[in-house]
Amino acid sequence: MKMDKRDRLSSAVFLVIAALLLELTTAVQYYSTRHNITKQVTEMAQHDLSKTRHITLIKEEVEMTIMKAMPTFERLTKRGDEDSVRIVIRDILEHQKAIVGIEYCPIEQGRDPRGVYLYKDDELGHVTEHPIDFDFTKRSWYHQGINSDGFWGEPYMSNYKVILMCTFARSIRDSNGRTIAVLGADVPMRMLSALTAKLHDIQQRSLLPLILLHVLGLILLGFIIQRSVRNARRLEAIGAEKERIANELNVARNIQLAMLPKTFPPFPDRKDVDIFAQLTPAREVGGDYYDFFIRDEKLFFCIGDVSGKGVPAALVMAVARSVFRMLTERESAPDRIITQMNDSMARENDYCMFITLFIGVLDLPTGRLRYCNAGHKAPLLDSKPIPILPNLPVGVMMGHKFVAQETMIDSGSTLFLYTDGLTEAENAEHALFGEQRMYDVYAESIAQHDNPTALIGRMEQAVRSFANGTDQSDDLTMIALRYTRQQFSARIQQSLTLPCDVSQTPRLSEWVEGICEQLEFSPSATMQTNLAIEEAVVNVMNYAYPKGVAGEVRIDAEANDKRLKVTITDSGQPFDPTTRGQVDTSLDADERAIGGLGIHLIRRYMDSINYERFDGHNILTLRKKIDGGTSDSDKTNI
Amino acid sequence: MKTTFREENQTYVMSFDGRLDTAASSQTEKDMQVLYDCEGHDIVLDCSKLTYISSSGLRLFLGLIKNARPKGSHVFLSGLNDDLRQVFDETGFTALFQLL
Repeated sequence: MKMDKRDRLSSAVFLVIAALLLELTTAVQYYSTRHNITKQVTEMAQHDLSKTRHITLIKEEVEMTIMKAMPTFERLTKRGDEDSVRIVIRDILEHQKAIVGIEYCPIEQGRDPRGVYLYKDDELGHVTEHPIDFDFTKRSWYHQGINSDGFWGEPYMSNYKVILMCTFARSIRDSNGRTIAVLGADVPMRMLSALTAKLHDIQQRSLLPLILLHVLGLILLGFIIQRSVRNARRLEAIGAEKERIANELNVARNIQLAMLPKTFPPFPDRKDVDIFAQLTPAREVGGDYYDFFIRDEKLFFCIGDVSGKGVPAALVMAVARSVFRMLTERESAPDRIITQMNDSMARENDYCMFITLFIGVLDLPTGRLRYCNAGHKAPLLDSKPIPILPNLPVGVMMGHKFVAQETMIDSGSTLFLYTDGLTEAENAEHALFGEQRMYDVYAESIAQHDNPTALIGRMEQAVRSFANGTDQSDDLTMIALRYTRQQFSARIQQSLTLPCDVSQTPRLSEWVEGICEQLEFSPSATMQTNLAIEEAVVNVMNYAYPKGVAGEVRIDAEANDKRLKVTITDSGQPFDPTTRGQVDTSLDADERAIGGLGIHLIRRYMDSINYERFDGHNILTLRKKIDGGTSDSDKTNI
Repeated sequence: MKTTFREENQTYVMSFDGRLDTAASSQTEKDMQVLYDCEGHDIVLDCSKLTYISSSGLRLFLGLIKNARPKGSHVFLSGLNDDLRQVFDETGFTALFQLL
């Protein structure tokens, strides 16, 4: 997923605006808070001041009232006139708003403490007397007031009303200064609570803009978070996408590698050929390509390098592989294989992808190598590149005629094929590994009698130490192929020459049966051998010579204890029965073609079939294991 | 290669005796003409004395079944020895015929 440029820009602009807004809010909040705090502190100070003033006022009022009444209380106490005391108290209560109740407690020697208590029970100032049913002597005002000319006791919860009460106490003394009674004036604390409520109002009012600012800030923060989350999600999505692509590339790499033969040694039962190949892509997938397999005693192999790298190159490589595999089923001539590959791949090649390709077909019994080069580097054989015609790469021009070449590979020789990822491997100084180094390593490897695996190991080691940790810039593929010709010492050697006439087949079968008898074949094996050879010979008789042209077919049989080898030679027009398609034996009669059964039976009853066109002759060789059965597992040559 | 033909209860029976190789196939094809001319008769190919068959012989059998089937004829094979049975198996011919 790609993030749009405009998207990125708007995102940046938004962030800048958000940051500016945030700064602004912070500044506004700072100044507003400072202002508010200053205001609040001033208000609180003023409030405290007024409260103090208020309290002082009440205090002074209460104290003054009591003081004024003091001479009257002294006089009445001395007289013991409690009724008059009640009248005085009532009068005080009715006129003094702050005082809500008054206790009068005369102290009489030898008697239990008792007193008179009057209080205002409502806002209207209705005064009632209430018997004192609590032990006032335990109250702090009483304690302290008993010897005091005026004392404010600690606030306490009133017994009659659920309010906080503060009592101003004062002793009433006789002329000798002896305390004869204690007077307590109750002042409720609610006066102060009214002031406190007012303070809350002030605070709430000043908080409102702050809260609004906070809400604004939060909304802004929410926006920023939402924005960030969205971006994070987008990044996450990009990450997931990347991971998915990486996964798919990994799968693609596995698929691509699975297309290459990579079981080594590939032909453990064969003594005539040993191969090792290695493909190291520079990226997850690459455009290098190699393939090899044996069909009818011929080793088909190829190495290629698709222009470009990565997925496009890998796709072309996959196509090349399919086309190569498909064509080689029916075609053994490398020039025809490449020509057809080229025609098939150059058609609709809109992206102008091309592939340099070298195809070799090695006839394993003889060591004859036919090859065709399409713009690839020449493989090395016996320390030097084999002669190649450059030709065009595959896919460049439709209809291009590719030309095949031919050489003999000596027994024990090793052919080395590579892609330019080897010679163009770079080190940190951008120097190339180059051909000379490759020749030297190859020559050394040959001198050391390396097998193919060891040769490629040595070459890889050399490239690695040359690159010295520099990243591989191109796909690198190497194939080493060692050929060892198998000698055949025959115990039986017989030959038969027949005119090209199918009525001659009874002679052939008689001859074959004679050989089978010498080899002590079972009747079944004899019948099968007979059938295979008859099919092969009849094929030649039917197809090698045009109608009306006389010709001969020569059949040679060689056998030792392990193998029977039958070679059928004619000098007719080139005819390769091995390139005939397979018969689908599962089809119903209506869909079955009449032809193709002969080659099918030959493949079933012989262990191998091999065709060579050489020196104007068609040479078809059939091989059969002698020690029983038509096993596919042991294909050792004779 | 010797062939004998007989008709039994609306069924054509042809016996093959010997080797049906390429050399024998052109004569055998002529001998089998009577079978090609069937009109819905069931056909039995008695192979109990057949010792050898090459692809030329197999082609005659295939040609017969292609010709006879559209006419509603059934083609039966009988008496194949094990080696020939294997050839028929290898070429997928066993599935084309009804074996007796």
